[in-house]
Amino acid sequence: MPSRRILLVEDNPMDEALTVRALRSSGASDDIVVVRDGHEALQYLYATGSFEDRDATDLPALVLLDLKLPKIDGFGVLARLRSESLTRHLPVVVLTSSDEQNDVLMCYQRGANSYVRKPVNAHEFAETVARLGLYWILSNERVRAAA
Amino acid sequence: MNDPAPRGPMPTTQSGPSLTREFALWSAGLAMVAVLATGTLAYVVARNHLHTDIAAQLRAEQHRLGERLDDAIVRVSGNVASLARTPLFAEALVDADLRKAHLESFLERVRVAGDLAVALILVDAEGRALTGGRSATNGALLTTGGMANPGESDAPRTRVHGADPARLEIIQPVVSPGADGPRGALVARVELAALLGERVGALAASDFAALRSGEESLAHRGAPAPIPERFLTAAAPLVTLPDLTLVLGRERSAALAPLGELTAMSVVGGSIAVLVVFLVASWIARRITRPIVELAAQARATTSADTLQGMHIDVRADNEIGALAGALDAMLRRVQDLHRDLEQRVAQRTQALGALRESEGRFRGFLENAPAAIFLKDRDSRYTLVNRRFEEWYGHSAQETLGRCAHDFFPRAEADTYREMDREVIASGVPLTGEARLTTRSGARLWIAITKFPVRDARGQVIGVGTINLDISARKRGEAELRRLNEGLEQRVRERTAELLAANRELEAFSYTASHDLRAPLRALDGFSQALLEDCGERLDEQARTYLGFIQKGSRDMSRMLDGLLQLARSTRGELHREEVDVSELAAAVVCRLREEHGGRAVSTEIPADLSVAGDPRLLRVAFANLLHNAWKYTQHRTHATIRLSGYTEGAYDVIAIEDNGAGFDPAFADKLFQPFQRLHGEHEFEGTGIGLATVARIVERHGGRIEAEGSPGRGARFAIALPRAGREHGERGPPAALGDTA
Repeated sequence: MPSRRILLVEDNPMDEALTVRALRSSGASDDIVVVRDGHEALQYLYATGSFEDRDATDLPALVLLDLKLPKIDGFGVLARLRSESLTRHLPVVVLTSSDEQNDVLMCYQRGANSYVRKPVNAHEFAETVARLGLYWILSNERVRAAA
Repeated sequence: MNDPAPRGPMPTTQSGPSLTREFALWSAGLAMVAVLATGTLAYVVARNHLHTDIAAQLRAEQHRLGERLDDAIVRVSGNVASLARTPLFAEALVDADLRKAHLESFLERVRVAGDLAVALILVDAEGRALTGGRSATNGALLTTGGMANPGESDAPRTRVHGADPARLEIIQPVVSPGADGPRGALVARVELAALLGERVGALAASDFAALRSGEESLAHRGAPAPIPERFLTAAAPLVTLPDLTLVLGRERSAALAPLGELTAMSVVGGSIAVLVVFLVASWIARRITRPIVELAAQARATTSADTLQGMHIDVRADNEIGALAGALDAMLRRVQDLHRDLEQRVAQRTQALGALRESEGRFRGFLENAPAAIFLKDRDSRYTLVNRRFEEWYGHSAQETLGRCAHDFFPRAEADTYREMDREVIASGVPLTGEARLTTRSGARLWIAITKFPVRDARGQVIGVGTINLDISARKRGEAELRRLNEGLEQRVRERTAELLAANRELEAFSYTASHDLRAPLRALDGFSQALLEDCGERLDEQARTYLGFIQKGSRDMSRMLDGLLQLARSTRGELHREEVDVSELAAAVVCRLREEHGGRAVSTEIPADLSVAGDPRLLRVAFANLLHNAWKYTQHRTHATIRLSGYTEGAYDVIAIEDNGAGFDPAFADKLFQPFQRLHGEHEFEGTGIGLATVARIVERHGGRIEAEGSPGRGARFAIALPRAGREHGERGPPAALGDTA
């Protein structure tokens, strides 16, 4: 049984709560790890710092990445992930408030798998997050951990 | 053709040596010499012949005369002999009576030789005259006359006896019948002069005849001969009397009269011949020299004519002169050609010279009036030309400057600098520029721009250095002022730019923040309101739920306004990418979306198939979406809502119009339509932010187009967007004026 863990990189606790609520209520995954900034996200993924004890090869099934983050922003995280062979094929969906074309372009250039704008409307938000959770966890075929 | 050369015969009043005359004289002279030589020769020959003839004739006449004299003597002698044989005489020798009676008278009468007076005298043997007769004067004659003994011989004798007058004596012996008969002789005595006169007859006045014995003239008849040289003579002894010589003389002048005639004839004939020869020679000379003279005249005409153009030499002759004339004509033509060529060259030179003078004048004008000190130096840096400004500035006149060096006038260091620059220009062959300070003689401090350039000769060799020192003090002052102003301006620009950049950065930051951060609180408001409703709905009363609904509505309105503002902000920044945009497809997609979102509405739309404009696809999508949204929104109260698109061109613009039959607007407030946050309808009628049309207007403006709105309350609205047609210059431009002034 492949991992259904989702790594949520989000500094806004309200967005975090809404996102986690939407993911849980959709039934896509209950295994949600939340980190508050880019630095922490990288520590988690590469099992360094406070996540030293973690098995680095135990990658999450999906990374939901906000762009505007303390310390290391989403672009930095994305670039790092794609430069490491361990995380090169890790599914990363950028989930952000921005609809700036420039942001969209930069994310895809750095290897994002998807770019989703967080709708303000609560219904739309819940729906959007639930849909992408279901899709990336259940439908998407991933590269095996051994690869 | 203008031909001033005289034609025909040469002028007769020609001075100086004449070929014709010379030729004529020479030929005439030669002919004369020949004529005279032959004439003289013929004359001499003829004269000699004549001489001979005359001498022969004289001799013949002398001979004839001699014969006649001999003949007379013979006849007399014969007749006397006949008489002497007559017995009468023999008898008379002894018979004195008889002699007296008969003989004397007989002897007086008898004619023994015609009319010639012959005296007959009978002499005895001793020579004594027995009879007197007419001439027999005494007996002494006979004895002294050499006939001492006439009876000694029977042979007759003839002799000359006596001297004055000289007589001829013919002695015939008278023979007696017996042997011892008396002896005597009959003597016939004739005077020689008489004989000569009787026999010779009349003589021409110039002739004479003479009988001579030796040198002694015994008888003479005719012209006297005092000077023997004047006479031609022929002399021969008589046959009968060899002691006597008959001389026939003729005066030379008379004898040679035919010779004089000959001479006269020769002279006349010679003169005529000479004259004829001269005339013929002249004629021939003229005939021969005529082409030469003609040629000479034509040639002379060419020398005296003002111009050679059009002249030619035309002498018809089939000989060397013709060839010469042809050659001269060719030469003349060649000379004409050369002359023409020369004239042209002279004209060109003159023109060039004129141009040169003009150029020189212009050059001088420029040189002396130029607001610069201009001077030339040779390769040794000696001044060769300076202008007035140089004199004024440096305080040295041209006179004292030319031929001298900068070292003669300027401080050593300064002069060294100048010379160094000159050398550099000479060495490199390219101009050199620089700037320097100069204090003129009048004390003015100037900035000068120095331009030094190589001066080359016609072969391109550098022969010196030209210098133009231009007073650029005013420019320098201006530059300094400009620099000061520029510095101030640049400072201000820098400040403004910094302000603008800051503003831009703030705007960017705002947009970014708006995109990211302003939404999150709204999302939280909406999201947690929803969470409350969903998770704690049973515990909330109706009023609480209504309030939560207001919170949600407010947050959503806020979100919409935020989106609108961001859209407006974005429409003013970023690059404009123009391409062909299919408006029909774009509009259809928007309408399709609207139909999905508002499924309950029946709106009829008309979208022609081929609408397209040139513009940025992203911005144009925003613009048309806004307009269609508006049309959709404001027709929501119509039962039969209609939205119609149409396209047409207006000048260089493509126009797309969107009409609806919706609520319309009051044209009095049309100017507010395109201002942000300005609304003509209340929120209770039609919800909206008031940003949409402002965004559309901004997008159209950025395309260099124009938007126009027409409408009236309750009658619908019409929005027309005019965009520059594809193919036009890309870039932002002013709006077209044709679309009215409501926008």
